[in-house]
Amino acid sequence: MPKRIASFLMLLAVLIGLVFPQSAGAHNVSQQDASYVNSIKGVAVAPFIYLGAKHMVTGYDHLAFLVGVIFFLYRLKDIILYVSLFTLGHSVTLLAGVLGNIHANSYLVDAIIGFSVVYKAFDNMDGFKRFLGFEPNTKIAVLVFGLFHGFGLATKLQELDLAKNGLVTNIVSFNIGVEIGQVLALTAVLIALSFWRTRSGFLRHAFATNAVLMTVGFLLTGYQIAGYYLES
Amino acid sequence: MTTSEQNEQKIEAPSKSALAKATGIALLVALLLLFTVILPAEYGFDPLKTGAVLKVTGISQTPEVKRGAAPTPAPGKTGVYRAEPAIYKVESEDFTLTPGEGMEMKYHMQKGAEMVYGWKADGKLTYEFHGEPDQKPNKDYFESYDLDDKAGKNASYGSFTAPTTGIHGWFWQNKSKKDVQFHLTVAGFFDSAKMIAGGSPEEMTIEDAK
Repeated sequence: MPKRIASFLMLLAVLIGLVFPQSAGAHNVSQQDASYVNSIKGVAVAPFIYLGAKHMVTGYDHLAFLVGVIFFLYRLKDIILYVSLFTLGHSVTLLAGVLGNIHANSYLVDAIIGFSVVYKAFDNMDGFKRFLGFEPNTKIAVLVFGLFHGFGLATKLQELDLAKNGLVTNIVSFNIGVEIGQVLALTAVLIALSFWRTRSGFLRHAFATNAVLMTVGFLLTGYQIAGYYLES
Repeated sequence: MTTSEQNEQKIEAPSKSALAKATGIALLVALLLLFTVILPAEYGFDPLKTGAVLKVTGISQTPEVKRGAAPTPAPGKTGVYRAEPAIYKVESEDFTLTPGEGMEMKYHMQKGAEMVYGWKADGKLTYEFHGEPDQKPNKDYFESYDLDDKAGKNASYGSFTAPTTGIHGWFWQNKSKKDVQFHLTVAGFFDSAKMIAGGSPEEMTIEDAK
């Protein structure tokens, strides 16, 4: 038992180490990027693709959720299906949020995104089946949380001073960047997961791993809720 | 893959108590870390005073320019006197930023030159006070002196001594939903000033103080 607790704590430390050292800069599009975007007028496909991809690769909350989603997906077909649903969800709200000028509070949206990690980890631990007797439709859940993640992306993009000129092209470019970043990050996660799955310990540690994922989800949620009360 | 297929690959479903325990531990660990380390470090909110003990309070926050200890005056003297070249300038101007808009004001100063500044706005502005040396190690190099890119401030006052010869100044952004007007006053020893607002830099003509 002490050994299990020790490995739980170690894994948690590694994950938090990954999440928080750069948290001040990682989540908001950084000041220099903002300054750069300020100077852009008109269509700028490549810069926005780059910013979108950068946001996704350094956006640990999106990544934690995706790790939860593909944790028990073995077939490429399923991975593609679920990731497409997620993509569909966040593309809709990213476009609608920016074009419709919907300003959501980024702390609250990010808190919901953090909660999506908790939800998915609990789902992976069979929590819903145990307590509710059934598992809520996983495809719908991924789609719905995808919608929230898109609002999160929209609030980040709105922090930049976007010129009206070329707006649609630029948002679509940002979205394409997000997808590229997502594919890059997913590939890395999948390689790690596939390697781990060949080990006998995978299923034994699956429960503990999802408990750690859930802890990270709670951390992100609490961090954002605290931010809402303390900073805005 | 249907859910039942997925589950066949798992060993066995955990019991309710194991689940409740795991969820409880996850929540507790998260709360513990939040209140002892993360909130102090990220927001300077330190209810348990653990952040102070661990010296993490405010780590990721606005590096309020540390008030360097005032130079110790020589014995028998009460202050510091420094002569400056005769380029004393005073700029005093109003600006308006629409929601989401950002702008920069930059001053070219020699190393060691000083300025005294103040700006006051009718809303919150996020800002960074930073500078780029003329001789910089790479294209994107800059030094940050004061930063508030989260909550923003209504005003800021201070004095500044240029650590390097180069351009020094502010980037402000209005992240609120309404227009913010602000007034900036800068007095000091700078050779030139430029404004960057949504495009290419614009040289500002600032008269020497009469």
